[in-house]
Amino acid sequence: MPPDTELATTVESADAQLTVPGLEDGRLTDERDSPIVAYQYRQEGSTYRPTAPINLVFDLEEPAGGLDRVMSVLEAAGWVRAPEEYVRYAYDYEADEYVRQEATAAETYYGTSGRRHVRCWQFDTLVSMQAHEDTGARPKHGIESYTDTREYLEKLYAAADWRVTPRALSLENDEPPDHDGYATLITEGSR
Amino acid sequence: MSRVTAGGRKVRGFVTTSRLESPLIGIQPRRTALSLAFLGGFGVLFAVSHLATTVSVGGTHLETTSSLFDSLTALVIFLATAMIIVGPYLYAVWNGGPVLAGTIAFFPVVLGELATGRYALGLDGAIAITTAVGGIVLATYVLDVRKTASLRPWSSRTPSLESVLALSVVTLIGGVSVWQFILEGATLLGVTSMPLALLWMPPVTVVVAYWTGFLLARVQPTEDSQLGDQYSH
Repeated sequence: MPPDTELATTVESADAQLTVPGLEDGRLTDERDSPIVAYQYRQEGSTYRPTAPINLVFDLEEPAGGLDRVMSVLEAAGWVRAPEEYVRYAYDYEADEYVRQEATAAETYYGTSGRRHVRCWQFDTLVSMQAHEDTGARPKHGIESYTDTREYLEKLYAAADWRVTPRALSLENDEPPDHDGYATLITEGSR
Repeated sequence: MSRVTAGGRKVRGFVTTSRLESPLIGIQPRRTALSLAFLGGFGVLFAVSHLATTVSVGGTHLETTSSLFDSLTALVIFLATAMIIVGPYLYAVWNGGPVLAGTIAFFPVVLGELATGRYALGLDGAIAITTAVGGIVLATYVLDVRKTASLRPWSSRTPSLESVLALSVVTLIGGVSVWQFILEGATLLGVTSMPLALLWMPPVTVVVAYWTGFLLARVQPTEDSQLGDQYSH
């Protein structure tokens, strides 16, 4: 069952910092050096085009099993893993290749009348998440909002005792309709 | 191919078994068969799309090999949306058949649950329950309108206690499930109770009208008010 009644109306910032290459004072200065990615990509023939911006970053206690721990909070809220969805990619600069979505989840399998929907990639101890709210399928899904889902997930992970620092990272990936270019940092456990 | 049915009407179609001729499934066997074929076709599209996500050959996922799989995803979502939101109503008006009308809404939802192994009522499921109950009641009403040639079948002919009871149980269980979903999922996306509540008005009204007709007939028995089993086949 969704733990909605327990969700706080505001999330108290954990004021956490992240120290990884390519990041200075919370601002992504060089994506090529960093385990953080700024966009997900869509394949178009032999090229890839950036589509939706990464808007949450998870700092894990340890890399092993990280994606599953991130997804387990969504599963507990009744989300479905690997719903009916498009294939998207993230670019791995180190390996110089586009990586298919590694873990995904949504509120419903089809999202006939809208759904919150996330795609994740893990590099090192970080999970980059693209979170958005789909429009209803009329006839295809569009983006209703990025901000709604980022803020909803801040509450969901805070309720699950992850430490949430809203808008901690400036990825400079503003995108219509409502993404402001910041990603929320969510820190696991005692980190 | 054509054959003569028990009623003496000629029916052209690819499947006309006696089971398909039950008014619980549909009025015209040919339309019933077409609808079942549509469900089967959707099942195939669903399976291909799901397998493309899960099957990898030599480390390459099938769905990454062609953008056609994104198009297939869009098609599956579109068809599922149509089946869940308008399917039961369209089928009820087109071919009667309460059982198949209800099945159309649940079919894509159940496939999704089976494929992912998650069994939780989401917004798609709550909408499917709502439209399925609406379609079941509407299909029963359509059948009774055809039988009685009246838009108010509950007053021109007493419906069977069995069918009124069945409709009541289906409506009650469905209504309570959706009500619970709305109460517990208050911040779930798009769960505004008003559109769902409006969709519950027609079936509840029809069920109340059936009960009223049934009870009035018990108070004032008329020639055709015998408890019939017009739906048993």
